Amino acid sequence: MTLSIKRVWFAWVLFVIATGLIIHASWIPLKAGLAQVLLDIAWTQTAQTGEAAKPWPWADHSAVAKLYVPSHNIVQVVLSGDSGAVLAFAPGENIEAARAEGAARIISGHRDTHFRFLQYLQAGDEMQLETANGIARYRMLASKVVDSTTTTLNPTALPDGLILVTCYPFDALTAGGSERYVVFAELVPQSETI
Amino acid sequence: MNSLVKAIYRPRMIAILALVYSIGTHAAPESVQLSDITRGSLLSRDEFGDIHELPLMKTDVDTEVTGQLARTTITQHFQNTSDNWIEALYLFPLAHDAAVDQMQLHVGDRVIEGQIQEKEQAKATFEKAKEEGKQAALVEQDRPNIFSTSVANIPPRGEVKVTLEYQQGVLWRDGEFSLRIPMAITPRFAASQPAEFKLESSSSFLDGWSILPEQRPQVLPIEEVDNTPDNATSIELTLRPGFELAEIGSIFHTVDVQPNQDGSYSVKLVDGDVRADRDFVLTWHADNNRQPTAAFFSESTKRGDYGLLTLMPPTVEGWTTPAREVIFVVDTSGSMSGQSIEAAREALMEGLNGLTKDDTFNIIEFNSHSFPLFKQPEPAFGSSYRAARDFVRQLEARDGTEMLDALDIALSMPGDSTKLQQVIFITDGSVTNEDQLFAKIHKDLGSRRLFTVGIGSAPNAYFMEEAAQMGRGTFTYVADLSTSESAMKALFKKISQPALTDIRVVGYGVSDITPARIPDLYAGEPLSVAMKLAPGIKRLTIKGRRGNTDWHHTAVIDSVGLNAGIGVDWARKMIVQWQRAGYKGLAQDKVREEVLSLALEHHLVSPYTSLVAVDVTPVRPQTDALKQKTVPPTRPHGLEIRLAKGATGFELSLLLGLMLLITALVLMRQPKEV
Repeated sequence: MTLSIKRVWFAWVLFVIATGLIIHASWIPLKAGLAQVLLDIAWTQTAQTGEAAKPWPWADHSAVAKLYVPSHNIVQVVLSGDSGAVLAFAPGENIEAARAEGAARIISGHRDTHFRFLQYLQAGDEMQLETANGIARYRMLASKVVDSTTTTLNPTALPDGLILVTCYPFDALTAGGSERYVVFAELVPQSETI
Repeated sequence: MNSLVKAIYRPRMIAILALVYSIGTHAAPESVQLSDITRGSLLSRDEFGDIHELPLMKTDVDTEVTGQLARTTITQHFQNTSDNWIEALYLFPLAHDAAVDQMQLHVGDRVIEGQIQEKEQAKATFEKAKEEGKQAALVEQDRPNIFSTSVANIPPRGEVKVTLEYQQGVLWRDGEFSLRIPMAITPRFAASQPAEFKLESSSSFLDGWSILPEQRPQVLPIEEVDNTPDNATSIELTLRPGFELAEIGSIFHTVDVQPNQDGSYSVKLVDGDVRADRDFVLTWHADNNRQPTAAFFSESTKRGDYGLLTLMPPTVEGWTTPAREVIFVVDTSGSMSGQSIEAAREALMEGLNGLTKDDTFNIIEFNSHSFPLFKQPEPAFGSSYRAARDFVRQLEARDGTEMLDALDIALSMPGDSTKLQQVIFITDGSVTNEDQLFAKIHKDLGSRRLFTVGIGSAPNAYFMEEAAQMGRGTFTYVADLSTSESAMKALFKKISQPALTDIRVVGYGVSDITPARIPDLYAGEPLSVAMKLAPGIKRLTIKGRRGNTDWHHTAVIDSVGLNAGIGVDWARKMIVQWQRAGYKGLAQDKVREEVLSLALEHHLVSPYTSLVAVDVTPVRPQTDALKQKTVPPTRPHGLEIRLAKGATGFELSLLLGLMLLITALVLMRQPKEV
């Protein structure tokens, strides 16, 4: 009898932990999705009024661009910065690369939320990036798996291009691996059609 | 029942972990070790982060060998075969004693020059140039002797021309001189060891690609093409050996050798014979000689006149050796216990074996006190010799180390100055009063030679090398018992037959001789001495003692080529000499002042100066024609972005949560079934 009570008690503890874990885990993709909706509303407002609108009252990130991948029905607002705090809400653009003149733009996103679609991209796919300066079009060149502990990106080697970064492998269960999946895209001149 | 719970979920946890690990341990990417850089190479990284070797189009080598000094000017042309603006890293392998002192880069229309500046100023220059968006790079020589500099803004299809000047000593081994010029093609970048090093630029000061000693660059090549046309390498070499040559040749390449009127040789690589898989190695031998040979070279520069004396021992051994008076001083302090004292005993025995009947000797044992075996040196035979062997056998390690007393006894012992007086100091060198000891040696050594033998895993090599240098002797390191015998045999064989002793350079207008105390000349070890000369000096005399007779050689001073590097060699030796003086207690301000002025004047990298690459492209007047030319925007060089983290890992948490939930539910249901 005492054994049985102990077991039930243990089962309840497990149940509480399990529920906590599930809520915590579910919150991540939920937050990622919800943030996009709010960011998109703010982005539209900003575009209409010309004043920077906050997606939610305590937001401290600014939206810098909107990424379109027509072939995969992707529309995502991109925030400035690629720290973990930013990437929880949206893909983030590397500030250093953004400031460098003539360098490729580098946008990172989580492989299990926003940038899950990266694995389906193929060379030749079109992407668009809408910024305050208008819409720029890009054509995907290649993708590559690299080890982040031994490799750094050199955005000046791909002038005015676009580089998308996410974790790899896509189906890994744990986060924090050293491998990255990198997509390279070149700028398509305005006159040219894809 | 708890154990049941464990039994349910534990194996699954293990299974999940195993899955994660199998995903995590991917094969390491292919990598290239720095040792794979076997010739001057220009490496660039493409947008995928992969590293390519830019095709080497042409190499010109011009070398002047003067005595044991070699100065090389190498010019290499590379081509950017891509349609992108790229940044690259130039690497050049150097011998361990070689140093680059001149550098010039031509990148497209730009000219970048290596300038020697005081470290602080070099840093300021670098930061300023960076702010102005100009090209600048600090040039570094990495410890494993790879010279590296970054080359930014290489235009599409553009050419890069690198010119380096470096200086090194020629290699001497078993009677053969040799000089190696690195030109072998980098071995194929096969998957070798996991990444051991990586290209790194975390520091803003060392912008561009720099190789940090701890983190070697990882090079990820995808293709490797050698576009070097067959006739694109030229090598021209002038050899002034300073002695009669018996033989000269190149190991892997066909060379054309022309003797000149002045005793020098012109060596040329025969066209079309470039073995691209091999370094160029030139070797030469001295003709058989029963006498020491002295050669004197001088150089006139705008910085002054400099001289280089090279002395070759006779190549035929077996000359009469002078009688010696050898005093062994052996450390038997507590720190020598174990293997060390055994090695010391072994070394002493070997030393006693090396004595002849004409020699005299003594042994001084010291720990906290000093115990000389005899009051004065005794002949090396008969009862004294036997007593010495017994004395050595019973040596045990104990107590402290009081070296000064022992040194005092050794240096004040009545002796026979007509003999060659040698003091052989066997110790692990665990001393703290180095300054006192140096002062003692300096004051009382007289005509004696001091040889130090370091025993054990960590002898105080600084003290022993320095003491040996002051005492015109050598330092021998004996790691353990197994190497003791052979090291000692070699040492005693050598010091039993000096070819020339008490060497002096005598002449009006000769100054700043380095090394200041010229060591003796021994069989199998050529010697080289640098000095400063007053302008107009016509001749000087080299004096010495050969056995028991005087020896001298008169050198007529006749300036040689302008680019032999004799002045540079002198300055490098003087810098080392000042640094040594600094270790021995000379005020650091004084050392800094002297080293800095030498380094700046002679264009040398030193502890106080850096080689900084500065864009010296002349500013062209703006003309309409130029305005129309599209100028690509200046790209910030060295921009390297770390890859952001790209996963939340929520799926694992979700999975774990679900598993725990199922477990909980199973546990809640089970009691009803019991």
